[in-house]
Amino acid sequence: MPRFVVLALLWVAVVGLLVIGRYPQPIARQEAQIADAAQRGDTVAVYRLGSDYLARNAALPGAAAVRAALAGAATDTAAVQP
Amino acid sequence: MTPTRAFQLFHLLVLLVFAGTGLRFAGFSVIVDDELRNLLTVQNIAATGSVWLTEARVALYQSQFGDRWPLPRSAVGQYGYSKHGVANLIPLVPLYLVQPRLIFLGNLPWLLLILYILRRWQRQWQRPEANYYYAALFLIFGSTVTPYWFTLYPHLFVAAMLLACCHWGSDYADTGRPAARWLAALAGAGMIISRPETVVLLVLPLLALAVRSARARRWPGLLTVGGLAALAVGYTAVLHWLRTGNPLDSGEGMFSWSADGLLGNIVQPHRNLFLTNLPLLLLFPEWRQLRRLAPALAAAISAWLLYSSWHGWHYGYMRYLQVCVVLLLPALLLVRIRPLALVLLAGGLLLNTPYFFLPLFDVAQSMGASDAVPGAWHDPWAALQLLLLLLRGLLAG
Repeated sequence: MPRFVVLALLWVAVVGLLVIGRYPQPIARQEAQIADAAQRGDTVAVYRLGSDYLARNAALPGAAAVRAALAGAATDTAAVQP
Repeated sequence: MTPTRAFQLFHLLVLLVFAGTGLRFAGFSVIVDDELRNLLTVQNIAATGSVWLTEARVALYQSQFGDRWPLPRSAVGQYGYSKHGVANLIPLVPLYLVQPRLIFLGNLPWLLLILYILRRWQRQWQRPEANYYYAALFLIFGSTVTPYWFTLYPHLFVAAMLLACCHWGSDYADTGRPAARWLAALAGAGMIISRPETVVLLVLPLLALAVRSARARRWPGLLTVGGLAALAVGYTAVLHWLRTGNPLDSGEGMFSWSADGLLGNIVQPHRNLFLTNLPLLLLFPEWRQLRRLAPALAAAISAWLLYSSWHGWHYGYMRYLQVCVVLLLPALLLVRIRPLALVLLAGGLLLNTPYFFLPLFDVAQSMGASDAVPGAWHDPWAALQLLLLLLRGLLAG
């Protein structure tokens, strides 16, 4: 393996080790946004983000919390009016 | 470390990087209409065994994109279906049944096929092993930069099939192995069935291979190539006729080349200067060896023509980035490794590292761009801004 390739892989590994713990990764960030909206009581945002999340990630461990947030939002009848 | 061990270690790391990025980004906000159709089709096949979508899925799609790109209905039975083919989706169904998130790794086999072809070419062309590693590195970084690496777009599949068609066709034209002829035909057919309009990409490489077969007096090869071209054109014409009533009209407003598009796609290297600039990279090959590249080069020219005719060439470049990255790889095998090439490659690696950890669509969000008008994705300096953002975050932390 050329030295250049070893250096490139090491560079990715170092940046990765520095970054992954510090920046929440996409799915975790989406879950945090939904939890945030639920806490704020922003039902419209919970519906939009939550349904989008569940359409693709229904099998993830975070899906249970998203379902709970959606169920909570469903009690707010104002949000489901057309 | 022996060369074999280094080879194995390198590919283990490649697998780790691709699988890791794919799983971390799986299902994140990367869904546009083409992708949603694919996702719904996979879900539908897994649930009902049919490619005709249930009315609930049709309604879900129409609610999001029905006003701009309505779902077509079949002439018989009026069932809703994904307007593109499903050849690339079938292998995703068992993955979906095991664990839905795994379908976002569906591109992995095609990436491995591309690496396999590169390795074969490197050996056949008797190029130094270092060239294979540079090409593989280019593939990893170039693919990760595009959001399509971990999405359900069929562009990577199309690119892999195109490269496979060039590889096996070239193999047949050079050696006369009949198996290579049939593999080339299979790859070409898979590509046409998955994404009919990309049939244009096949025409020039087929011509290049036909010329080579004719020169070697391999008439069955010529027949296969000609048959494949006829199949491609016929299949596309029938699809167009079904959709618009006119075999020449795709109904998508394509094939209107503009000088802006043709020139723009060549002279705007600021769109990722280091990794995707075909003219720049072609400065480096050894010209005596360029004849070997004929089919792949012809495919690259077709890609340039097709995507320059796209009504949205100036903002839709991410679509063909993946195909272009793949088409550049054979040229990289012929590059004589000079300091300037290494500087360009190093610049690209440095700039594009953040994309391994923050997906491009996330960049659009962090820059405050809306999902509907993703201007920031195409900002020529997006990669640099992202790197600075990352470094600032790290320094502040």
